[in-house]
Amino acid sequence: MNTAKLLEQRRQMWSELDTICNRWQSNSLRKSTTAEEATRFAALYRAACSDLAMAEQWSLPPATIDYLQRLVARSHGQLYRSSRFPVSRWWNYMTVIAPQAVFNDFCVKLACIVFFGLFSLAALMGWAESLFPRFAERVLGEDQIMMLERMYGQPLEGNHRQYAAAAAGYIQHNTSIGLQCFALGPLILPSLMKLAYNALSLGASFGYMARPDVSAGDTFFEFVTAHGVFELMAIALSAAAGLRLGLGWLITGGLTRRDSFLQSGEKAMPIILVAVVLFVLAALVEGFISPSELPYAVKVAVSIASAGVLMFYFCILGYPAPAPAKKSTSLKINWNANSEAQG
Amino acid sequence: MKPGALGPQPAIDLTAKVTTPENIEFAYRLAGPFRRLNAFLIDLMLRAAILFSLFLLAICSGIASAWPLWDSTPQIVMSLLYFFFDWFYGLFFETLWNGKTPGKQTCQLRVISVNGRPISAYQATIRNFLRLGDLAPFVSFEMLIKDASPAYVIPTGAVALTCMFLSRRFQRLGDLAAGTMVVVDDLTWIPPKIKVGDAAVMKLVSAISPSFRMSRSLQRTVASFVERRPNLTKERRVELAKLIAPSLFARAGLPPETNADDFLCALYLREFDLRHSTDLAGKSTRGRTPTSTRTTPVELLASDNPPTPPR
Repeated sequence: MNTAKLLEQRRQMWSELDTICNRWQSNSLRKSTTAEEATRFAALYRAACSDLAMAEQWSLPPATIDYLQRLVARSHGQLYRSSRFPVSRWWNYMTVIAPQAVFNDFCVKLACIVFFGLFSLAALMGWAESLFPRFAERVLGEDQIMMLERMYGQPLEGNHRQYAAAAAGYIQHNTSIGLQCFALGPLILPSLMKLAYNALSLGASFGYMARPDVSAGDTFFEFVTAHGVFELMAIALSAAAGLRLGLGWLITGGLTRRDSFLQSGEKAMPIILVAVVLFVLAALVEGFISPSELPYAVKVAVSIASAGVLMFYFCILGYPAPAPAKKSTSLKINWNANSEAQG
Repeated sequence: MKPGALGPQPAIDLTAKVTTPENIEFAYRLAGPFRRLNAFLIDLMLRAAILFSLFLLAICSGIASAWPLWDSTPQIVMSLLYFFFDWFYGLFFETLWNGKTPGKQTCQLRVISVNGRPISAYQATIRNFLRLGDLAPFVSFEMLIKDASPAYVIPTGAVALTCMFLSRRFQRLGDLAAGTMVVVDDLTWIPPKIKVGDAAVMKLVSAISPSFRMSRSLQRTVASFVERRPNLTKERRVELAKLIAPSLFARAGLPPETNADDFLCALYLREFDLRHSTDLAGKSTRGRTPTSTRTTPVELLASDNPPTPPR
């Protein structure tokens, strides 16, 4: 058999497939694809695949094999397209899989202990001036304390026009901090330091403001009560998601380091998603409720209600029940394209 | 990813083998750090340009609008868009554009799963959220110049570089966590035309004994040589060709003083090229062989191929 004859015959099909690929590469034209063309594409792709498989057998020249490789790769990319977040699974993911993942995760417990432990410790030390003199001043710095006192010096006035702008600003700023905490997670130390720094400075400000001789304290607590629950939890959760990744490559549990890291990414996903949702909720409360003239009792009620929602979400929805747990694992596999494939 | 799922690979290789559902194995060319840096910088500049124009727009509309209820709208839109472009830019485009961002599109790169399938939104989320960790550690100008503003912080990207060099597929941290890799995705690629048709070679083609048969490995070697030949100097061509050609002269029925370079070209033409010039781009179809001359293996294969449409 002469390779040249063979090449002549195949070339036309290859160039036709090439043309279709070119056309489909611009997204707008792709939508106008006819059924006929799609079928034709599939057939041509299969033909190119089998040509590639036979390339060795027919001893095609290396340049042609290279060309075929690229052609098949391009067609493969056009045939199998990226999948979006399937909207139908969102509800299930956020109400079944995510709370269970958060409830069962060791890193969430660890991050919560570190965060809330340091937070309470700093608050206590900042508050007990006689035992730890100048603790809050040293942690926060004189400038920041001056700023805090100035900010909360006068009573809250509801400026309705600014509410939405403030909420948007909080969403951007706070969620960014949370996501930074997560992104630095694989390096472990920077993420832990960020978490500890936030815990200490927040705790110290709370402790300082709780001192009986600080006049700005009342306004401060009136401001932070409503959104505090969501926000503190969100910080702890985003660090927990980061920590999950960091421990993923350190403690492999018998897997290879690479596989373990990959798996921990899958486990960290629901945690960071919940954290982002909490950040957004906290920002909305912080923008619309916290600075308003609503009576303090209402803000306390909001705070208690949000704590109740969190308890319900993490402990009741998240409690590992035997039957739904089975269901959730199968869904988890479907959610992540990684786990299937490679049969 | 299971270890060895992609088959054994040489330690230094710029390709990643992928097995399709059609059970065909083909190779993707991996994109190294410098190719990806270009794409990253383009994306960065694009984002900066978008944010800056949004900022101008917000100021203009803020001045223009006298409607009191909406005076904070530009601020809201700015904050939210800033947040979106800061964290969701890559996720948005990679999900929508089949693993490409505008920067990747320009540099002809694409993100795919390590198993060759397109990335899912889940993978795009993880790899984009972790970008900041990849850019770490951050170096501040304060370390070098005492008076510098602490605002100037430079990401070194050392984490990403280290990961890329340690992993087999140039994966950064985010890629490792998401199970993705970045490959070169050519828009159009036309193989180089190989022209070896001078008179001396043509004469050799007919002079080679008809009974001379080439083994597969010899065919491959000759083809590799001829494809690389345009990049070599004349002396080097002969020098390389002499390594293999003289041992074949006797079998091909040629005198030992034949030009080695011409001989290999003649072998190539004889084996691979019907019209004595290769045109893989396939623009011309005039040299097509009539159906009756098809050899058996082609016919076998042609049966599951679609009929060629009439032109």
